[in-house]
Amino acid sequence: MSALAPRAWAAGAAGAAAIAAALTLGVVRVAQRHYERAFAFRIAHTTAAYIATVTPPPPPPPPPPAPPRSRTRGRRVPAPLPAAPPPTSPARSYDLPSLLTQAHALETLPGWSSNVEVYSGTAPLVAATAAALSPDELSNLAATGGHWRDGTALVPLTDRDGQDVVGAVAVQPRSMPHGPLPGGFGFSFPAAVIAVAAASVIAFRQHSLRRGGYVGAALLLAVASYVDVRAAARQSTDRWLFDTRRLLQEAAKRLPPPRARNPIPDLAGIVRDGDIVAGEPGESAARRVRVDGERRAVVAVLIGPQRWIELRSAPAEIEAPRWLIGLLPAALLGPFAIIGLRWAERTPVRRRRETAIAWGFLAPATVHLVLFTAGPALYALYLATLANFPALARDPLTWNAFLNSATYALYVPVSIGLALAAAVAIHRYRAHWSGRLLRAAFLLPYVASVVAVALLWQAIYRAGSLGLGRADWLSNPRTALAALMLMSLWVHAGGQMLVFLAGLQSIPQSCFDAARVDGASAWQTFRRVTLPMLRPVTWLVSLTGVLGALQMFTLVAVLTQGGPFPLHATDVAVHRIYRTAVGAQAWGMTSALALILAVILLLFRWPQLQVLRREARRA
Amino acid sequence: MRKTLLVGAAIVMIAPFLYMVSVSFMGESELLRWPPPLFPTSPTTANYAAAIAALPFNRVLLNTAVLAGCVMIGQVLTSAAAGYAFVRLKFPGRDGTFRLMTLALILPTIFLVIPRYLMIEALGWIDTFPGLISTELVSVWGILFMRHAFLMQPRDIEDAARLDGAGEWTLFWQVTLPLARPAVTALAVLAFMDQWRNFLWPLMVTRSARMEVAEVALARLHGDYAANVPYQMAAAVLVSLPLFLVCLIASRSVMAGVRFTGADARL
Amino acid sequence: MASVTLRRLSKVYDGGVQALHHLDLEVRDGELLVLLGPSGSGKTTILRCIAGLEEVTTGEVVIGERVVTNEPPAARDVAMVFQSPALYPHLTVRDNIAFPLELRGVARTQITRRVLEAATRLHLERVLERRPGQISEGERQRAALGRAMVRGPQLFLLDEPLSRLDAQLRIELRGELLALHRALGATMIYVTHDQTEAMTMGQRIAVLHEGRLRQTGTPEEVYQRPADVHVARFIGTPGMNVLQGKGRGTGEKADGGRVIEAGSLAIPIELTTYEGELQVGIRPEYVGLCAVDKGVGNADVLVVEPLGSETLIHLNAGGQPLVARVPGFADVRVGTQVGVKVDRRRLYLFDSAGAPLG
Repeated sequence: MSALAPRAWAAGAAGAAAIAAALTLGVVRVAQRHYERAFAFRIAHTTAAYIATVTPPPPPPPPPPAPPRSRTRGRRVPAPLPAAPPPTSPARSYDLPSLLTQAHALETLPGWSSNVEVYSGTAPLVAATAAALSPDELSNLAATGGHWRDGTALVPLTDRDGQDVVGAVAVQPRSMPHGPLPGGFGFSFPAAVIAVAAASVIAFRQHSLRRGGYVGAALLLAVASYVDVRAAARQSTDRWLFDTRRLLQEAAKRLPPPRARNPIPDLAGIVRDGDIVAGEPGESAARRVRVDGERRAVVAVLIGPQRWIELRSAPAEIEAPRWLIGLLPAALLGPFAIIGLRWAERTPVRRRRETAIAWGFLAPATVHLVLFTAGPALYALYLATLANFPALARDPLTWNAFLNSATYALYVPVSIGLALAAAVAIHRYRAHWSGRLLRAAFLLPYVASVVAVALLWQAIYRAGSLGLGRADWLSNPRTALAALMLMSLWVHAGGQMLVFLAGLQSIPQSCFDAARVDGASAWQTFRRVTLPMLRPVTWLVSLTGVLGALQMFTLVAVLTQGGPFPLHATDVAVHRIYRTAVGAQAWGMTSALALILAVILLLFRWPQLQVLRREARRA
Repeated sequence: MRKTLLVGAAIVMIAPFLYMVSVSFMGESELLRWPPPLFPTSPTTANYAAAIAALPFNRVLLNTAVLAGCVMIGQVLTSAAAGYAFVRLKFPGRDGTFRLMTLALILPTIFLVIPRYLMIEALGWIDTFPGLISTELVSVWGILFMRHAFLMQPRDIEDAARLDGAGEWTLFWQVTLPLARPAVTALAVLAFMDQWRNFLWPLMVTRSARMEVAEVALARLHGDYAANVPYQMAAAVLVSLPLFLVCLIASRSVMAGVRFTGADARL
Repeated sequence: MASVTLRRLSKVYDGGVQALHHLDLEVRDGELLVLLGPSGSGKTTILRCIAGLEEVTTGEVVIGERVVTNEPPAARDVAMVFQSPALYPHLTVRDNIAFPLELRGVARTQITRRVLEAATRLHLERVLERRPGQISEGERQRAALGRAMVRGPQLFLLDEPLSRLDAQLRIELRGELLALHRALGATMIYVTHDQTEAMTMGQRIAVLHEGRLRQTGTPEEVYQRPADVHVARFIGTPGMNVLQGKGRGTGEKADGGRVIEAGSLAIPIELTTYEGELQVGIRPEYVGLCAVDKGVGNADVLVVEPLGSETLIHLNAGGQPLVARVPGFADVRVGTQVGVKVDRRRLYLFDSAGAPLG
């Protein structure tokens, strides 16, 4: 019993395909915008630095502030002060006429791909009729370091020493064709047309159910879109290289003679997020080369007769793959929707209803897991690919951390033994108050606040070592890790005891009775009956224990921070990862380390899940 | 005789806590004597007053309660709903989805912490409750736990309710959830205690004292007053107290939760 | 009240197990039909398909005049009583019985009245305010019945409701159920694997085996004229003896009489037309013992079960099991050989596939 009319289904399928295609194109557009803006901000900063480099200080006396434009309509209280360049020492500020000249020169710079405006204070210099900045905006710039306004990147212009904000530079990139196809179209547009067409064929001509064809078309769309995004990224880098080249050439001309002889240090100040090195004659096109194992975008710059330098920058396109996270799902949304619709068409109302309800119930968890688990996991994997694994492997701290973790995990067998013994005793006396007391006593450390436990044990260690005149156990590199292990033993035996206890309780009393009738001693009963029946539980507890031990963090973070140094005697894996993250902010390295740990943990996690699954099936 | 042994073992296990409480009533200088005293010579509650002010206890208590409370509610609802769908409803993709969710368990916390942090930072949620809470709202363990609980639950009662005319929504709220109350309570208690002791994530995403949760505040206090052990002990007692209270009230639930995960814990 | 019709009903579970094979069944309006079959024969599946708790793979379910195959359970106006009482443990008996009415938005006063009515009929007045955990097994099952009947459904589905009760209580409740059926005049489908229960309760019995409907008929029909070997074996305590045999003419007698050779027995029969492999069935009460070599053959005594009013004697007739039921106590020793006699008029003949002959 089908509830969807074929026509409705076809319309739905074509619509879904169109929406998916539009969404994909939308992501492409967002990416293109993103790169255009990135370029605009970058060149604006470069321009500001250029101005700072080439504009000379004013001859004394300092220039008068730019006249404020009064905006005193309505009830607004007029701004009390014109936002003039703050009073700075003459050597740091600019010579205003010269600044004016430089600003005007920018506009006439041949081959520049953007419109530019320079503000001194709030007053525009290039186009005198342009709107002035509001004082608020100017003071905001100092705090934010630049913002986007009406298609324009607005960045602060600082004084010659880079201390105070004395104005602003606004860059409005002229829109350039993004695509390599005629008319500036990218590959994504025709690909989108093809995908929608393919979907429509499937939808309206029931006989040609070439669903595979549409999946192919959707993938093609994703790839084409990615090509476009990558091209946009590349273009943003190239555009900056070209425009900066013009600035550099201009700057080389304008530098006063003594500095013009060795211009590289001065010019390097202009391109703060790139490098300038002495170069060879080269073509005008930008190239991609490898420098010290890293990919760089370079362009040759002629700054004087036979004087070449090379301008280098990190190419934006190496970051482009992250757009795939948006592009692939958007493109594949179409095929998924069609598969769903197809399924809905074939399926009786009741089952469809149940499916809808089921996904309704699942939606919160699923969406959350996609957003906060699957997405971050993929992102971490991507970050890890950026890391330099050989360097990680060469770092002795890496090895030390994993070794420490492995050593630390050795407390697990001991705590399991203790837990088992306690569980047997508690099980034996479960009806008596002493059994219950022991159970509570074991449970208490396990449920306690971990940091409190850390502080408490440190106090004990301290009290213990005080009179002996020795260093605290936690400060002695030879005992620190062992001291932590003793604490963990105390904490974790309780949890493990509970699991054993549950295992013991699930053994039928008749088993013990039978053993007694057979004349087994208590020890024999334990060896021959209890232990074998507890095997799955023991296995589970061991795996879980090791998993927990390898991920220990809190105790180290609170008590030793990985020390005693310089041996890093308690620097365990998770702590190392944490340090790499918050210390160096080296996300690639961090993720790579975490990935290595994850792989090691998987060796224990996988069997653990198997045990859990088997237990669940048995129950 | 053997029972005495049990009691002895229990005392050994509890002794460190007793010491903690005892020290928390000592004066700062008392611990410098040799041999270190086990009991305060002149008990004082000054440490508690100071710790309450320094944490600050009210703020920390509130923050931690908000974190643990929200996460508890979130995890119980999402886990129960997902578990219900997995056990009681039939739909295409059920087993595949479940397997994928289980697969999420292989990702260790630390592996997710970094990208999650970057994400929260990009959202501008650093040092806010949304940043602190949002990532913890769903727990795969919780889903497994509720699924298992529903699997154990007899179907007949729900079938009867279906025939009585209950829709899935009514069924879920009025029949399945009340029937699974022990499991729901266990999960709630477990989630609450887990978040009360959450350290790594709050450490990453909170910056200001205004947002500090219990464990982070306690760790900071440890750094700030490294030499004043009685003071630290007082704070440790204060922070542990809610946990022990929950454990006392709902010991059965705590045990059920611990058992299910095979004593999996974050440390 | 309503009739129920199943047309070509098939159910294949997700694992690929086919629980029902093209099953046709008609339950008349106001009838009490018993679905009887060993466990795993598909009885419960039929009930769940009728109730809408399971989706039907192919075929149709008709209740009254309405095809309900794709209707949700709630829309079918069907009540079901399960093996377990299936009461909500967190509600009192009163609230349990009231639950279906509340879901349907029945007015408060009406609910109170109808719950009390049902409770009175089922002798539950005293326990209305208690929870399921605080009442006896029998009361719990009664409360479940109360919940089923309180909204006056057109069809009752009862899935082995008495199987968990002890023998005494079972007999008591069985009587109450029958009285209830008479009083309500409702259509009921009653599932059981206990053939005694089936014989005593059913107006008609439908016998299931391996997902197929083998026979539908009154208890007498099913007992006297089993439709195949499976029904024959299943009905009766113990079920019918079925011997594997070979039919052939001996030519020794003047009338050209034929004999079935089954194990150590050679049973003369009056049918004349069959030659080859066949199965012969005989109810235990028509098997008798006699002196060695005086009957249709000899057999070894394996087990003797004296039950008081009668004795069951388990025999081994040349490798074929055979049960004889004799009145009173029998003086037979285990391990001895005895002669076997059969009532030739009470033989059932089936072909080797199990279908009846003649």
